[in-house]
Amino acid sequence: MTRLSDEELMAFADGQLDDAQMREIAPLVASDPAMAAEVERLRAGTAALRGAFRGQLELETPARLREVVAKAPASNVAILKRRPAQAPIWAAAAAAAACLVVGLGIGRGFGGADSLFEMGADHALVAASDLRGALENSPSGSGVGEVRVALTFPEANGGYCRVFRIDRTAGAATAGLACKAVNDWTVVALGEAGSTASHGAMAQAGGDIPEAVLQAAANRQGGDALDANAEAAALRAHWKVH
Amino acid sequence: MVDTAENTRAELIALIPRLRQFALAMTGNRADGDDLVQDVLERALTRLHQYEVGTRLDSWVYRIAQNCWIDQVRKLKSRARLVVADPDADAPGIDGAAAMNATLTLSKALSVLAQLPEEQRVVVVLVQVDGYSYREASEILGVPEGTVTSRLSRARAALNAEVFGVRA
Repeated sequence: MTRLSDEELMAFADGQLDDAQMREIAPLVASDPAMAAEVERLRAGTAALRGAFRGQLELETPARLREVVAKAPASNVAILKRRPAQAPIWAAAAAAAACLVVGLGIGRGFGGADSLFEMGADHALVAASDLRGALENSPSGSGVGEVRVALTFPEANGGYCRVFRIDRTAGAATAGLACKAVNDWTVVALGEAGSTASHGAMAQAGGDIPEAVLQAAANRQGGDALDANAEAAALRAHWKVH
Repeated sequence: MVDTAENTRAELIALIPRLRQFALAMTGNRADGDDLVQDVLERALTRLHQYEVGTRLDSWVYRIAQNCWIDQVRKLKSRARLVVADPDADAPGIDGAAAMNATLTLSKALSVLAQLPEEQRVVVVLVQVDGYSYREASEILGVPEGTVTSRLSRARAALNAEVFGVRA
């Protein structure tokens, strides 16, 4: 039996090893009750800590902190040219969809076989399973399983984002925005659908879309939504940008 | 589209909730935490010219947060330190579905974190609370990834014992 160090086991529990190492270690852990229990304990510790801080990200920002930024001279803030390509949005997305994310666990793909989300390499929340399939392959207006894609729009940098909706047979409907990173669809925003006011073309296309998703879409949008032909071409090119 | 200055302001403002969570976890109370966040924002705004466009704004701001926090710790160490738990913090922190029936309240979490050595606490907060990878945490802290791993491992041996009782 291969002995893993405490640190290796912890890195495994946290999903921090590369894919090959994860695949190598998973069966060792699964076949050793003591190691499996330790992995569970480590993950439960993280879940407990994260749980203790749940709700913190949704607290209203005090006015004095907002004003520190809002009142800074424009010369200080005009330097930045564009949004970082890989903004780590999982935290914000998780806050918007705490109920969905609680079950995710910390590792890559540990959300269960049918989870629509998993944790990507840089801790971004990425689409999995039917959500990934729908975003990758479904024209707007269609989908896979409980997922429907509402529309596609281009990003300013030439990439693509898609607004989707998940109508679960049990529980509230969810709407979200995902943008194609290199291989994955990064979930940029998520929210409960159905109860919030909706706006304009996007709402017409997608039904009720929560404000957080509309806001995220507005921030990323680099042009008008694709028409059916343009979208079909992007689909055929597997969303590659030339 | 809105102009870039407004975008940057919006991105910084959008980071405030995460900075407040980080600062709360590091300082153990909301008032010191928000003072820390204010320092961080002011420092970030005066140093934006040092920010490398195209890199992650949040990592850069977190590096500043870490430096501000070290400065604040130095100041605080000269006076007696009182950790005041928030009165509203005793609601159960995780729901019944969470593993091991553990219920860790915010105030309990803060007091447990406060017992960790500072260099371990920051790693726990970045990785376990904020969700950064080991590599990202090492970049934010400016230490090798192996240092992050060993600090985190030592911290969790202590933390898990505290949260879940005796080690298995």
